[in-house]
Amino acid sequence: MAHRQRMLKPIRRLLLLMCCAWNTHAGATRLLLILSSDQPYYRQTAASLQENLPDVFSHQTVVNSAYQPATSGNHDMIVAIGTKATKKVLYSCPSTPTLSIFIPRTTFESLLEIYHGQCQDKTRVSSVYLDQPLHRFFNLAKHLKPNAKSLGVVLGPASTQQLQQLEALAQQRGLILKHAAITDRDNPIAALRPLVVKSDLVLPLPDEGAINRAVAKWVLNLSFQNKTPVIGFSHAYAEAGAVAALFSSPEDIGLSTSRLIAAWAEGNGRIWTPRHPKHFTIKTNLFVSRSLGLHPADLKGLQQQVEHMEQQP
Amino acid sequence: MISIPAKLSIQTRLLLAILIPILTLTLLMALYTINARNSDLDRRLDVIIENLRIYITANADLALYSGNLEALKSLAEELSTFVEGTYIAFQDSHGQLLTSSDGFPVPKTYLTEITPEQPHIEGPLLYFRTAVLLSGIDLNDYGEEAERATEELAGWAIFTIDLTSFQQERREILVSALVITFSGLMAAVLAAILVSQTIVLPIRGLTRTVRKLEQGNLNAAASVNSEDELKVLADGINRLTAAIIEGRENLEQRIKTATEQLHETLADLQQKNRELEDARRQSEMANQAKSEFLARMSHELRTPITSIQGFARLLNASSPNQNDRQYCTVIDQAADQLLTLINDILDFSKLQSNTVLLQHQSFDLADCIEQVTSLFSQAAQEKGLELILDIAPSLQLARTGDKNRIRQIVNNLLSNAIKFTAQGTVRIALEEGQQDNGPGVTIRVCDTGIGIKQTSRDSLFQAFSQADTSISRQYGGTGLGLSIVKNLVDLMDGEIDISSEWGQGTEFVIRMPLAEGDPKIAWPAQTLHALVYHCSDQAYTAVSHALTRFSITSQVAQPDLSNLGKADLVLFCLSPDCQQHDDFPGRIIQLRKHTDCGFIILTPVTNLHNLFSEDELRQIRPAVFVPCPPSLAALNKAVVNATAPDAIAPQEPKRKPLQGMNVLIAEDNQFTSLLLETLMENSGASYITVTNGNDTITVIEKEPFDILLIDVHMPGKNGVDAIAEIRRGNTLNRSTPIIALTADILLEEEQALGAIDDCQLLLKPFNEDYLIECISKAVGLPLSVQKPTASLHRNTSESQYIAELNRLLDAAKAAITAGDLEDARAQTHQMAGIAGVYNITDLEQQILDLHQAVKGKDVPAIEQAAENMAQALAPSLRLTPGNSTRVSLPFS
Repeated sequence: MAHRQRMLKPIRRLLLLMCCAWNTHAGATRLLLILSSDQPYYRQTAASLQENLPDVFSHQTVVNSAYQPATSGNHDMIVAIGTKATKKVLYSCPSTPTLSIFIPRTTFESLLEIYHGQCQDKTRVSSVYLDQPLHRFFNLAKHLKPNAKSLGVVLGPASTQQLQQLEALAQQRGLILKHAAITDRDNPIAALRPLVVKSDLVLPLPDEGAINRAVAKWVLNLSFQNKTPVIGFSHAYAEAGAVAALFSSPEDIGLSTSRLIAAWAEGNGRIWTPRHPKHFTIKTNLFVSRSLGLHPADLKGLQQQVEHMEQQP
Repeated sequence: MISIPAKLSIQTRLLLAILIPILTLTLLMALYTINARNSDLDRRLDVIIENLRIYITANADLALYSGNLEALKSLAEELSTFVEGTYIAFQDSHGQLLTSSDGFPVPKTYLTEITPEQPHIEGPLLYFRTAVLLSGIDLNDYGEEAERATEELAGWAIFTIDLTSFQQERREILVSALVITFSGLMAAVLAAILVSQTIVLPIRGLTRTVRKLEQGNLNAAASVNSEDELKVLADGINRLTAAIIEGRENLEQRIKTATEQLHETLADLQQKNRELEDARRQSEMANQAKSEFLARMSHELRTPITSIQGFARLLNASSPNQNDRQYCTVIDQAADQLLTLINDILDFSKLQSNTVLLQHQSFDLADCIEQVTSLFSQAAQEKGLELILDIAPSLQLARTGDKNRIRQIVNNLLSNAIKFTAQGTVRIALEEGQQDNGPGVTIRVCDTGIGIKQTSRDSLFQAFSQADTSISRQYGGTGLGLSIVKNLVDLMDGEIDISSEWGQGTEFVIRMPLAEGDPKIAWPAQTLHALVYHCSDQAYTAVSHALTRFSITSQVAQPDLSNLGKADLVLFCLSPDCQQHDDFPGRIIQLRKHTDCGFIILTPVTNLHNLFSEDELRQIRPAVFVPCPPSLAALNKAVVNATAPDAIAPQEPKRKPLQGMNVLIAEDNQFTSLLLETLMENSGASYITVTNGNDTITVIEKEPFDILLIDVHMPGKNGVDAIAEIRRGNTLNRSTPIIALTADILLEEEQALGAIDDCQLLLKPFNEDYLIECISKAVGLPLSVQKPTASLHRNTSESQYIAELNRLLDAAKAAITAGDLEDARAQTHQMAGIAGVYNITDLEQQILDLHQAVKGKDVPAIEQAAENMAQALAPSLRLTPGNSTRVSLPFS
C-alpha cells in the first residue's frame, strides 16, 4: 500500500495543483479546522488534510470554551475533526457549511438529529465516518481465507438491524452467514462458543451494545482454541490477536476528506452525502496467521486486493 | 552533654565510654536487622498475595463469568498445590459460594458476608478477598469509537494463607538477632574489660605505688609492662622517688649535721645562759649594791647636807657679821644645788631600774599643783615673771593617782620654765582631758622664755641632755629634769607634747589618765559679783575661772568706774607689769574713795611695804592681800574675809607659827636633831627629842603630841616600823599627824609610808619654812602667822630689804643735811649691817663707801657716795632679781 501511495502522490499533487489553479482563478477556499482536542490523531488528521490541500487556506484551532460561531464568518467551510468538535460546531447552529470527519456513523447521526431539532437556520452538514462499510469486511474475509464457507458475525443490538444486509453481502461472496446476538443480560460465552466453532471466519462488528473488551478477548480466546481466524475492526484488535484488521488511519481520513473538499470546491456538491472514508488500511498479525496455518505471503496482497475490489463496479 | 559522675572509678568510666556506644550501635543494628527482615517477610507476603490476586484475576474471570465450577475447582486445587498452605474459595458477583479448595478453613460468616478487601488474620491464618473483574483487550485505536462499559465484576476469590511458616520465620529472625546482638554485646563487654584492664591495672599499680610513697615507703617502685604513656609515667614516678630518696638522704644528712651544730650551739647557749645568769646575778647584785649604795649615799649625803644647810642658816640668822652671813648664803645655795642634783640622780636611777611604783590614792589636784606653784612664786616674782595658775572651772579636782609624782613632774617643768624665762609669763593650766582609757587631766606649762630649737627637740628628753651645750653653761642644771618628766609620764600611761618657737617660748602639754576621786572640798556657793582690775588677760582669765568655781561672776572693771556700783568686791591683779608701769597705789586709793566694798589685792610681793607705804595701806583698807598665784583655798578665804562685815578687822598680834604646839622629834643625828630643836624653839613649839624608834614608841604612849617628826632611819626600830606601830596601836598619838623625815628615798619606804594615813614624807635637807608650812597644814593651823624669828632677815623679801635701805639712806641724808654725822654714821652702820644679806655686791660696796665716807666726815665724799647709792637703789626700788628666801607667807 505504501508503494501504491508513493505512486499516487505525484498524481495527487498534480490534481491539487490543478485545483489550486482553479481556486486561484475562482478565489481561495478558506477552511476552518476545528480539532476536538490536541490528541496526535486529530493533529495527524488535520495535517493530512492540509497536506493534501496545499493551496487551500486553512485556519486550525482546537475546540474549547473560547470558540464562538462568529469566528467562522470569514471561512467557506468548517471542518470539525472528532465528536467533540462536531458537537460544539453543530450546537452553535453554524451558517457556514460544515463537514464532520473522524466520527463514528451512529454518533454523527445522533448529533445531526439533535442539530436539526435545535437550529432554525440550517446549513449544509456532511461527514466522513471513521468506521468502514460492511462490504469491505466481506471483501477482506474472502481474500483472507478464500476457501472459507461460513462467516460468523457477532451482532449487538444496533448491528442486528443490518442482518439482512449482512446476509446479502455474504451470499454475494458465496458465504454462509452465521451470527450470534449478544446482549447485556446474556452470558456471551454461551453465544460465542458455538458461533466460533461453526464458522470458518469470525467477524465481530463494532457495536457498543455487544462488543466490549471482554467479549473481544473471549472471541479471540475462543477463536484461538478453535483455530478460527478473527477479522478485527481496529489496529488494536490486530495487535490483540485478530489475524487482520480493517480500519482508516488519520492519514486515510485526511486524504479521503481532502478529496471530497476538493470536489466540493469544484462545485459538484458531492460532498453533502455523509459517507465512509474511501481510503483504508489493512493490518495483519503475522504471528496469529502463522499459528492458524495461514500462509504469510497471502497477507501481503490483501490491501491491494481489497482496494481492487473496491474499484470494481 | 552527658556527664559521667567523677566518683566512678576509671575502669567504670572507661567501660561506660566503650560500652555505651557499642551497646547503642548493637541494639540499633539488631532493631534494624529485625525490622529489615520482617519487612522482607512482609514484602514476600505482599508479593505472594499480589501474585495470587493477579493469577486469580487473570485465570478465574472467565470461569467465574461463565460459572465453570470445574475450572474454578481445578484452579483452586492447582493453586493450593502450587503455594503450600494456601486455600482459595470462589464467590459469584452476588457473594454466593461457588467452590473452594479441599479443607478450606474459612469461617462461614466470612463466606456469607461481603466483607471489605482488607486482610484479616485469625490465628495462624491470613484471610483476604479480592474481586475478580472481567478483563479484556483494547479494541479502539482512538477515543471516538463507542465501547461498552468494561471492568465488570465477575466474582470474588477468597484466599487463606497459613502464616505459620512466616511466624516461625519471624521468631527465628528475632532469636537470631537477639543471639547475634547478645553475642556481639558479650564480645564487646569482654573486649572492653580486656582493654580497660590493660589501662586500669597499670594505673592501679601506679596508684598503689604512690600511696606507698605517701606512707613513707620510698622503696616502692612503679612497674608497667607496656611501652605506652603509663610506662613513661611509671618511669617518672620511679625517678621522682629516687630523687626524693636522694633528697631525703641529703636532708637527713643536713639535719644530722644541723642537729649536731644545734647541739653544739645549744651547749654553747647553755654555757652562755649560765654565764648570762651569772652575769645577771652579778648585775642584780651590782644593781642591788648600787641601789643600796645610792640609798646609803643618799642618806650619807643628805645627812651632812642637812646639817650644813641647817647650821648655815642658823649661822646666817645669828651671825652679826655681814661676810659670815654672805658666806652662809652661798653655802646654803651650794647645798641646795647639791641636794637638787642628788634628788635628780636618785629619781633618774630609780626610773631607769623600773623600781618606781606609782601610788594610787585620792588627792586634790589643785592642792597638789598649788604646792608647787607656791614654791616657785617667789622665784618668779624675783625674776619679774608673772606666774599664773589657771584651773578650768569645770575640772573635777578630786583625782586618784600618785600626787607626789605629779608634783615632781610639774616641779621640774616649772623649774625649767622659770629658769629659761627672762621676762614675761609662766602659766600653768589644768584642764579636763579625756583619755582613751578613761577620764584624764591635761596640764599645760607655758612660758615666754628662750624656746627650744627644732633640731634640739629629739634629744630633749634624753638624760644628761640639754637643748644646747651653751644652755648648761649659761643656766646650769644636770639635764635630767625632762628625762625624769618623760619617764614619769610614760609610767603613768600619759603623753607629753612640746611646742616651742625659738625666742618666743615653750609649751609642754601633758595628758595623763587620772581617775576621778572622792571630792573632799565643797566650795560654798557665793552669789557675788566681782570687778577685776588686771594688767594681763591671762591673769584675769585665771582669776575669773577661780571665781566661777565659787559661783562668783566677774567682770573687767571699766576705767570710768561705770560698773563699780554693781560690784560686791574688787580684785586687783598686780602683775609685775602693773607694779612697774602703773601708779597702782594711787589708783587703788582713788578707787577706794568711790566704794566701800571689800578689796582683794593679788600680788606676788610678800612685803607689802615694798608696794605700799603705811599711809597708802591705811587709805586702801579694808583690803585683803593674797599672794600670786592664789590658791583656791586662799582666794576663797579672801573672798569670805573681804565680804564679811568684820572681815577687815585690825590685824591680830603677831604670833609664832607653831606657838603652843607640842612636837616629838625622833632623830638620831645630833646635828639634824639640833636644827629641828632650834627651829621648833624659834617657832614657839615645845618639843621632846628621842634618838631611836623604841624610844619613840615609849614616849608617845605617855604624852600627847600635836605633830610627830620622825626620821626614817634610826638605830634599833627604824622610823617606818615605828610609824606603822603607832598607827596600829591604841596610844594617845594614834591619830597624830606624822611627818617622816628621810635623807634617802628608797622605794620600799615610799610605799610603806604612802599606805599610812595622815603621814607625809619630807626629804632632808628640809626647807625650814616649808617644814613649818607642812606642820601648820597637818595640824590645821592658819598660815597667817609670824615667821620664825631665828631667820628674821629671811622673813623679809628683797624689796623689803631695798625699801629698808632706802629708808635708812633717807635718814642718813637728813642727818648729813642737818650736820649730824653721828646720826648719819649710826644709819650707815645699820645699812652696812644688812648690806650683805642678799649678796648684792655693788650695792654693798656703795653702802660700805658711804659708811667709810661718813666715818671720815668727808662731806663731798659723803654726798658723792650718797648720790651713787641713791642711783644704785633707784632700779631696786621696784623689783630687783637676786637671791630669795623660801618663805611664802600670805598677807592678811
